[in-house]
Amino acid sequence: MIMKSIRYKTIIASISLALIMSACSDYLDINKDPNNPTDVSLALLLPYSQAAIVGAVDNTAGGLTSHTQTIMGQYTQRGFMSDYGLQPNDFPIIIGWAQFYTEALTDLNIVINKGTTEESWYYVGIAQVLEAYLFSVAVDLWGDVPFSEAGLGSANPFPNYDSGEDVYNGIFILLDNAIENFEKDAPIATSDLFYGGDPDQWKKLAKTLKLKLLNQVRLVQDVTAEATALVNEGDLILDIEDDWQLPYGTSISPENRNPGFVQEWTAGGQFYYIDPYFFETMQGTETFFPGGNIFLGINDPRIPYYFFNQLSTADDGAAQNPCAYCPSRSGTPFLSIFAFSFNIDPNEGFDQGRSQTVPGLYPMGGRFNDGAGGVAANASALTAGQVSGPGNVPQRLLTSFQTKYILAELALAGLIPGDPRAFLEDAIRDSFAKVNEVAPLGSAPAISPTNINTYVNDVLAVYDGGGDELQVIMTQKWIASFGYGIDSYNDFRRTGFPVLHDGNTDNLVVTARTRNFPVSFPHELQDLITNPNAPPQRVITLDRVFWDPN
Amino acid sequence: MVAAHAWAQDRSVSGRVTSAEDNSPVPGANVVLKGTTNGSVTDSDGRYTLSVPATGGTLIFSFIGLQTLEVAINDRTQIDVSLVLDATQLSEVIVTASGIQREVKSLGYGVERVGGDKVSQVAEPDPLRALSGKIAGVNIIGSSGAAGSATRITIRGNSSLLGATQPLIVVDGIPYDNSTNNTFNQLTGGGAYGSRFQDIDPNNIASINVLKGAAASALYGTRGANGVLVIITKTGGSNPSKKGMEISVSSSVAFEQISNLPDYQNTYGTGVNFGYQQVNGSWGTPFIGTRDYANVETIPHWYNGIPGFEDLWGTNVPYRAYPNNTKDFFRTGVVYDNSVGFTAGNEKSNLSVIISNTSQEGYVPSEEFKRTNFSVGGNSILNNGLTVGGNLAYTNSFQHNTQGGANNAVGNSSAFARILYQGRNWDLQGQPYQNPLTNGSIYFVDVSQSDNPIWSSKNAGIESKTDRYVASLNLGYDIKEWLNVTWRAGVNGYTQKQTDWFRPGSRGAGGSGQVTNFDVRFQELQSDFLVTISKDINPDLNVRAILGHSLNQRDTESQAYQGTGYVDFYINDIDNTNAVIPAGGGISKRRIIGTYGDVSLGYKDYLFLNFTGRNDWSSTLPASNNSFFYPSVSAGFIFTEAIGGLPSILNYGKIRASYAEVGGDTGPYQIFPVYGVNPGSINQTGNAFPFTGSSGATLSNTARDPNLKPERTRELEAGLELKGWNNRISVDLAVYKKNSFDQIASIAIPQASGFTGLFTNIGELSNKGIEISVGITPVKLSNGFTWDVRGVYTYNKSRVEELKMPNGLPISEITLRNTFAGTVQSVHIVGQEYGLIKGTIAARDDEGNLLINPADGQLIADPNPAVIGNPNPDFIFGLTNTFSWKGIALSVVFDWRQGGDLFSTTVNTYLGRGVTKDTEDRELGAIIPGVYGDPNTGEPLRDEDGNKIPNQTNIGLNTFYFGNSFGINSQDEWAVWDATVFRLREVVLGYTLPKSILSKTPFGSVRVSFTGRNLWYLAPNFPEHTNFDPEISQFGNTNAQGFEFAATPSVKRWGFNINLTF
Repeated sequence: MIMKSIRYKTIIASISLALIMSACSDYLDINKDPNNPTDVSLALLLPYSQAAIVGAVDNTAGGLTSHTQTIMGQYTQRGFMSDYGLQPNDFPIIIGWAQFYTEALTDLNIVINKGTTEESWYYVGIAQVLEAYLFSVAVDLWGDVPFSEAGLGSANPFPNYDSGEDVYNGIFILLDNAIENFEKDAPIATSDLFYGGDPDQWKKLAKTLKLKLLNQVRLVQDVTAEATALVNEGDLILDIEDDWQLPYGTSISPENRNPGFVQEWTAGGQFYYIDPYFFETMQGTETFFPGGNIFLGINDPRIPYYFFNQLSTADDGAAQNPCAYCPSRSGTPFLSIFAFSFNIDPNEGFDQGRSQTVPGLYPMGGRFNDGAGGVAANASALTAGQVSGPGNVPQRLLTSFQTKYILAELALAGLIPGDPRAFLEDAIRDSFAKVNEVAPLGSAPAISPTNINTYVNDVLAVYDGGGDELQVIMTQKWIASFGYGIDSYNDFRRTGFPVLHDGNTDNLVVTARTRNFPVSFPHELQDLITNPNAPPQRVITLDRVFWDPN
Repeated sequence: MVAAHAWAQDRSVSGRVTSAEDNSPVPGANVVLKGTTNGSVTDSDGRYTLSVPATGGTLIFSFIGLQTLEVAINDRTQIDVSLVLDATQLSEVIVTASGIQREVKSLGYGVERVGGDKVSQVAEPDPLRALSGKIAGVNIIGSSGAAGSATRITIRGNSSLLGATQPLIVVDGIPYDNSTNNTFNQLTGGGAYGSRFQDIDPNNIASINVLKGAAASALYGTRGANGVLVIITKTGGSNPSKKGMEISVSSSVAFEQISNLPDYQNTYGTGVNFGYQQVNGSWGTPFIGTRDYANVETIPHWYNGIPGFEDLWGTNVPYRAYPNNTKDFFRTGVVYDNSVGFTAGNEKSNLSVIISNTSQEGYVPSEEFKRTNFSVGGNSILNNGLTVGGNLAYTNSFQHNTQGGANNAVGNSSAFARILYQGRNWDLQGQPYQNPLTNGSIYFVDVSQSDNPIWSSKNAGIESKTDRYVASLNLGYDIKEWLNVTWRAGVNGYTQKQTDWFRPGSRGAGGSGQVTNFDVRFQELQSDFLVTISKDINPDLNVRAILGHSLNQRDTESQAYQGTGYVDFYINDIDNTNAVIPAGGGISKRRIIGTYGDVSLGYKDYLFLNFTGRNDWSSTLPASNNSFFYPSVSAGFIFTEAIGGLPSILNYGKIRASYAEVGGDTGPYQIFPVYGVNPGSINQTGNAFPFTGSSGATLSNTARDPNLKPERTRELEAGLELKGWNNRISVDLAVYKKNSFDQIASIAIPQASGFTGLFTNIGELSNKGIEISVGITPVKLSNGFTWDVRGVYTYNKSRVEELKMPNGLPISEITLRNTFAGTVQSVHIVGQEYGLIKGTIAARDDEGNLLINPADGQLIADPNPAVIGNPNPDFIFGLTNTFSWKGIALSVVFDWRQGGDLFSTTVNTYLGRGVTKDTEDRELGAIIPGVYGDPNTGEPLRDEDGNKIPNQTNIGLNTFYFGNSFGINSQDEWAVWDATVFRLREVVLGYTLPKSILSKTPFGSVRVSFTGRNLWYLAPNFPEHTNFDPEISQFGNTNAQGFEFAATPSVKRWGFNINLTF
């Protein structure tokens, strides 16, 4: 009997267990992610997309400033890149593209949709300005890009590419809508990393961006009326207080420092050289491109804020390896390599991580060049021989000096009223003010008014000297823009200035240009492969963007 | 029992059952009165007693592995029998799916059994690697020679495009997780993390049953698609001990060394174009005495100008070769393995205890692997007929590795960054490796390029500690003689604590020092309830039916923390860092409910049919799609039994065929989109949230398919088994075709869609293959000498059949794995083989001529990448020769892996750095065959007649390997080699002492052996002097294969082993 009882208990218990487990549908209802939310607030979405956009254009190996400053002769890099060797899978291209479309656009679309439902108009307006900016950069580099069908996810995984002109028209609408939204009553967008949610500042940015884009298209359409209206409204970024820029922090963990600083100030781990052509233009010399420097003899006081020399003496032997552009050439501890010298100059390939000149305080938060040298490092605890900078200098995106250079260009072209020379002077002074704004972050002295005045007068003398006035404006703008490269690349394709170093016409035997100047960027490779609606790859030496009739 | 009492007891028979092989008693043998259920089991001394009717009757004696014997009782009361080994193993019982035991001869599909002795005692701490070359249809590849590194195993190819392809491992009925828990992507950092199967004690493995095909594994349903390794441990098994009490001791020591140093050139030191420089490449001026013109006698000290080495500033050192500067970095490692086992048993109960310890010091300085196992298990038949059993196993594993990863990644710091390609004049052993001022690394090149390998091995690394437990129990009861219920349940889990660290002054982690802790807790619960019905319908037809119900739950929790900036240089504790942030992790839980049935029919011992069906419900799929059914049918026909008149040379012949479906669900939380909160990396340099005080969130970049369906695999298999010439030749042939469709994958979609991927059912993959095992005994002499040859041949072709979007739109290609953004990748392309290597190529004209840049005589890059390699081997062949004579056995395992490409940065760097003899003969230039081309357009240049212009630009060999030609600064295609390799995998020479000698000692058996592993190999298609061993894989046990980025080279071992029982 005991046996029987055990037997039946076992059977009953087992069968009930089985039934309970199977019948209980809750047992399987456990697939809700406990780690990540399925909905978040606008206040959380906005800052990420803001940082992501800056990540696309920033001063790192994966930022678009990297390529554009190299093409524009501000940086040199070892290898093909300094011979216009752009590839469709280069870091800045694939990362810039991905940051725009997958990191920023998706979240910004959610902000716009959700913000419209919630009537959080400032969030909506900010997202519209940011989308306008990212699509404008995309058109300026890649010509035709997905716009009207972009960012729709699985609803349209293979978006068509719109013509650059159509995208620009859409951008102007986005900006006009944004301006309207900033004029409504709405809760402040408190999580805004740029302007603390201030709708007036954002309105200025929207209008300034519009002015910038009107200037961009001025060769292919008459922008006189619209540009003049914007100038007359006066609601533009005209003071360095209004500059659009991303402030960084000093925290290493989480990493909040200027990413250019994090990258370039890794001890001995430099990626960029400073292009000697850019350096000599600022130094007022021309040792390898006779006749190329319109500012010959004018020494720019911004040099120690722009570049940091790791060497402390102008002694070639102090370099860790034989040098290409050596201190003896410039008479300063500045050390670099020439563009167009890969595979020709045997000294191009040597490690100069501890000897080369690196981007300094102004562009990325490195150290002010006090002449003492030292190995550039970003570690929290420096070891013997290492020096560092503050690391928290903002990434500039659209500043008052840029506005004023745009005004100078528009005025010179006769598209707006005003004196281009006065706009130029204001622009130069604002660009110095910008350096002086950054100086205290690096415990650096301010550039004295005397030095500023001397420089301004010297440059205006060149402006007045009978040469090409546009060349003076654009060359100055190029110098001022150091640290944000995309506008210089646009400006060059629009105006032909500054005149760039050409490895085939200089007096160097160690340089040769084997490729032509790229008038646009190659389409990002992964999207070309995966999108059946993508156009054929661009021929970057021939396929211009729509606003470039040159 | 009631029936037994009612039996008329007229007399009793007793006796002893012994083994004919050695006359030892056979405990646990069945003694049954034929035609009844009246029976008994022999005790530990092989004795039995049985009540039988007064007259007549026949006793049937049976025991697994021995031939069943029928003896008529007549009028005897004492019947002693001696059972002989079942030489053909025809009645061998094998454990198949869900622990169901079946006779091998009845199976309609291929299953292979490997004895535990094949994986222990072979100087291989990793039991999976010990299987290499021994089983047809199984592909095993170690990730590196680093102590405790992961091993990848696939059975019959890959059944999943992007999901798991590793077989399910089931130990004593409970799944055994074999994950690799990486703190970092192994490309961009971290070490050679282990795979968790390494926690198992090889000394405790009784057998490994490999269920290769879908029919064999169909009862595992959702988890059976990649095949199953069913492992029975000695402590978890249910066979009582042969002796009443036995103690076994196994002890071994093995020594290991790096197996593949290249032949270094010692003529040229560092520099460029025959001039000395302090650089990486050995392309400098020759050493004095090697060339007539050599004239550099001394060079400035490498540490000139480095603060902390002021006493060396301005000094010179001799310019000479240090031929052993790499070899002397490595050491002779040693592996100790010790194990003691206790077994005790009688006819009702048994108990086993095994304690083992493995301790490995790797050949790379500071690398270690240690493992301690305690296992205990027992089974008992209670007086009331209930069978109760259980086992417990505890493992403590420890791994210490150097930092690895590709050195070109920002912030990476591999100990192997330079060690294999050091400048030939670098005095690694004679110079300081640590800066006395900073404690940081000091090396012949700047720390921005590489850490000193000696410094790295002491001051950076990974450490992993795992505590693993397995506990299971089983209960069984025969309700009727034909009806049994069994419940088996268990838990298998571990906690793993992993630490990655770089002390300050490293290239890694920005030089500030960094400690990353990664904690993982994993637990798997499994319950199986089975009802078994066995009936003989009539004397010719036997039916067995099993109904089962199973529950499975897997629960993982992980969290990483990263501390940056060391306070004290030597303390690798995260409390010793300046700032700590969370670095990822999460909770995941998944469940599967299954019900299954298995019906087998046996007709006249020669025709067998088996039907199974399983329905699974998975928690990870959408509720509307989470139930799925997997059927299988298989048949076996032993034609030698069924058909008379076959030639007598044929002892046994069987054909078999099967069809089955198995499948796969997906991971937890894959069907709904979610937001990432405070993302860890906004841009290239890792800016992170919280950002200047603000938190942030972003929608995941993977779009989700809410209608996800389970993956399915359908497989057809046919097989033929033959034995002949007195069983001295045996052949087992299997062919199969396996189609896996509704593959679940995150496919890359254009990023302009706002997403990088779409997680959906994507396509179909097929595997076709042939497996052949051949056993031959060419020599079998009367003096006992035998020579056995066993060959296993594995051929598998995996082909991507179809890729498509949910809306049906076809896709031509998906990315399986990116390496560095935009460069070499692993891809699946429709119509081609699995996981091809894609990368950059040089531009060519329409006729395939390389285009040469007239400006420099070098190659021109093609902007579009292409397929540059196929990592899948054409076939794998393993050959085991065993010679045995009077207790001496020599077994030699040779294997041959034909084909399969490897992208190797190590080999590429050997050439690019000019360190091996391959590039020693360099005082001649070279002209790359090709035609001049325009680097702007990628078109060939033409002369005035429109003809292409052959390249005539001479370049130095330095440029040939260092410029944009064929070395490290060139396109990916030049870093791919055919990885065909021949290998002497294993040599074991063993001697078992004769019983006659042992009879006067306490020992039951004594065996001593010598073992060598990987003593020789040849990869003929790699550059000769690189001596490269291609059996290496960067991505451990993941699907992306065929990549090697400065991985730890492979290892060779030789050792001694002694086994005692008493």
